[in-house]
Amino acid sequence: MDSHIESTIMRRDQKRSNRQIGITLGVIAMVFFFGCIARMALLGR
Amino acid sequence: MSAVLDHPHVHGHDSHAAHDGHHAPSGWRRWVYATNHKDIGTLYLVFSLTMLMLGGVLALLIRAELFQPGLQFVNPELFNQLTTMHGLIMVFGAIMPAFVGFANWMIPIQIGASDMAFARMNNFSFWLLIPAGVMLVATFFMPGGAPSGGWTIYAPLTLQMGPSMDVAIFGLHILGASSIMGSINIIVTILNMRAPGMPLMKMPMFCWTWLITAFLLIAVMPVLAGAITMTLTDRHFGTSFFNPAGGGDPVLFQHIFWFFGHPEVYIMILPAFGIISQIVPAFARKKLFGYTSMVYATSSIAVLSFIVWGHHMFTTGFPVAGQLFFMYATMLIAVPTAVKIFNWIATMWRGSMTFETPMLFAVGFIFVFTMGGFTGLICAMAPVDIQIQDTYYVVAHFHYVLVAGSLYAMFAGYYYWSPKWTGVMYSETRGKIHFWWSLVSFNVTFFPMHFLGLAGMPRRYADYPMQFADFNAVASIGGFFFGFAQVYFVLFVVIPGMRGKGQPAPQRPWEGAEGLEWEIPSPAPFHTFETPPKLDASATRIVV
Repeated sequence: MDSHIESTIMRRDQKRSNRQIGITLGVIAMVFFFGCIARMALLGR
Repeated sequence: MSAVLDHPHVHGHDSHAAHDGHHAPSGWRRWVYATNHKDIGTLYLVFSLTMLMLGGVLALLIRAELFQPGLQFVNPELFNQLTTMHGLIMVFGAIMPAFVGFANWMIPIQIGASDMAFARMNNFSFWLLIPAGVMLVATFFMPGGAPSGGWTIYAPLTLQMGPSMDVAIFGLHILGASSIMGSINIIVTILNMRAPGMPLMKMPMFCWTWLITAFLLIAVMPVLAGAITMTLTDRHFGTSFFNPAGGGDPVLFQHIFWFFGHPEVYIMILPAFGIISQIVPAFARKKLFGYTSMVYATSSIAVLSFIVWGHHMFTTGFPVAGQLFFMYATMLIAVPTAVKIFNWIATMWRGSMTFETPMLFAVGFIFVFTMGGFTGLICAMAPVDIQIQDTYYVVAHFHYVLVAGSLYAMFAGYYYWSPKWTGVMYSETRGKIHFWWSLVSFNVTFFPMHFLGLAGMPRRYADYPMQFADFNAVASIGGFFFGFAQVYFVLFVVIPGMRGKGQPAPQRPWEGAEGLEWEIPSPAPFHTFETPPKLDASATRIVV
């Protein structure tokens, strides 16, 4: 395969997986944030 | 400068250098719309240096007031605001952003990536800091003055304060969002964008420590955000999470805050460990002793940091079983920390050491940080801590680990990497003056605080009895000398470097240094590693 096409495909794949990992980590952070408040609000001490 | 060798390195990939300036924007747009990791790293570093100076001014106002007994310069209300804002500004405005600046500059270069994974989010992370920093500082000019309940923003004090508390909470939320975005960027960059041929276990230690730190940040910054959100709803929306008047519990706030706060301590020190782990092998001209154990030790410290928060709360009426658990869990952290200290010493053992400024700061770090570590063990003992809780002993302890720890490591990192950033060598004489001046004045400032604490002087008070006068006078004099040393650093080291004054830096200024950052020219070209480099078996050199 042409090396230019190959590197373009590699970059595109990398961007996609970057986005997947990034969104996962962002969701985890949001779960911690809302989870912390919800736990205190619903269950008290 | 015996270790400074000029190797004219020619690599195939150096054609990147030829592209330098190709896509480099200029003027204010370069900085406002910055997506280049090096530019954003510079912005972070300049911001944190500004906040360091600002926090330093607050510290000197505190020390001026405490120079002798009686009230001299400020009233007790303002004194409390000064201590609170000094802590908040130094922790959230100076140390954390400074390490993110180092990460932005060095991680993509060290792993052979072209930039951070999310370049525009990186820009956003930085520019969020400016309104947050302005908000924190602006609280001084609000009705009732700045928040004054301590940097730990304990309830119920925070529930009783004026509108500046809301502004500070908003500022902290923004700083937290910035940190979380920065962490996501760092994790994704490290996990997904390493050059082929660089497995995780061959990655530079600075990247490893930042990877672990970034996970810590993602785990605990939302917890802080939750705590201050609950404070906000208690203040304005009729909830009673922490308000005893409505059935809430102020101690609950302490639990949540310190569940964030203790990992936060390691967030501020793990990247420092990474910097020291890069510098010691370079100037001992040996490989880092026990690389694998360093990685596991760092991970262990991170895991343990989640189960020790109670040691900040021994005087809140913990059951004895709880005190024992947190006491022993805290002491356990000494094990992986000692692994790191001994590994650095073993790296130096029989090495061909030279003591340029980065190495001086690194050795200074190891020596003084270890003293802070030992006083940490003393504070960890519940029966002792009940005596010294909230005394100057604790103030001395955490300044030994945060100033002589984090700040010294940042100075070491600046002297080590600034030739790559600025393209010029700093003045070795000035660097050495800065080191010795800082080392002596730091100890003059903070060592007497151990005695003050053991004698019973509480922290966060504007005045004290006559018996504490001598040590306080010594600490204040030391504090001003330490402050002047940092002004000297800015005026005679940083600014000349930024202006490009000094001898041109070679590509590889330290003969013992290893890593991809030394495979690119000095100063680092605007774009590096646009195509992934091919690495040798050690993943520290580029194969042409």
